[in-house]
Amino acid sequence: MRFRTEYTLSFLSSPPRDLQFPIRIDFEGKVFEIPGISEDGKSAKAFVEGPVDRDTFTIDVGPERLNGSEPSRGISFPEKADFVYFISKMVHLLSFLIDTPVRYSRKLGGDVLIPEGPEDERCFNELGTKQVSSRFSTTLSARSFQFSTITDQTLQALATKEVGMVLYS
Amino acid sequence: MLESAFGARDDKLVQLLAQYDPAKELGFTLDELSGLLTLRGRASHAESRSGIEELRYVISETEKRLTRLKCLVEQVLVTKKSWGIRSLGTERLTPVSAYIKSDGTLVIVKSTRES
Repeated sequence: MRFRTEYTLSFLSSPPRDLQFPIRIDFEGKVFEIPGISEDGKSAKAFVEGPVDRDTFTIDVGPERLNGSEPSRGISFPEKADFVYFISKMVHLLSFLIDTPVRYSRKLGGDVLIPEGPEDERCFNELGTKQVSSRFSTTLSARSFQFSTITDQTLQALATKEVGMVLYS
Repeated sequence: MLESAFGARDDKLVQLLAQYDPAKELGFTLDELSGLLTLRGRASHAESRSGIEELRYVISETEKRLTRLKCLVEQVLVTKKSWGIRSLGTERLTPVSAYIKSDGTLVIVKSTRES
């Protein structure tokens, strides 16, 4: 069984014009591939693919649905974390080599398990799904104050904290 | 920025912040502040020599706590009366409108008006 996952790379400045695509790197048993770059040169799709052990598969069951239909089911496997570390490593290497800051984000629904034979197909049938489980989390952020009016007193008080404001901003 | 505000660093800064009323209003305790100091040490270049696993842990933990720490920094900016010295005096320029609790949840402070 193979696992393939898709990312979007964002280049914070233009990468070198002579950078040749597609880029394909076989490393540590996995493949990192960038087929091409967007027309504006600011983003690119990237794929990571590698083998996974179907014997480690477990099923994640989603929350109960409001309409009463069956909750979603997705396949989970411990090796998935290795792919996250792998893309991180590849992006850092790429960023260093092309001297361009690169950000990456995983594409929603971009995870695919690719069967390599009848045994893998049978595994899907037994599990009742081919879908890969995805878990999400959020981090809340808040500005802890707001000024409804800004008075001379406010400005004077803040002006004495210039170092703090420079460091904050 | 907190070092700049209180003219102190490391354990002394943590002790001052633990006694600082606006920090206490946000629920900061000596334990939590000491934990942040430890994390800061781990995030330094010296601690990062421990390897990529340590670096990943520190990045993950820092991201979790950063939004709450940002609230503390903002509150020090809008409340500290005398900048750069080890004082606990406050002069609040504007009320707290929201903040992140230590468990990562959001608190929105709603002002009430007397009729």
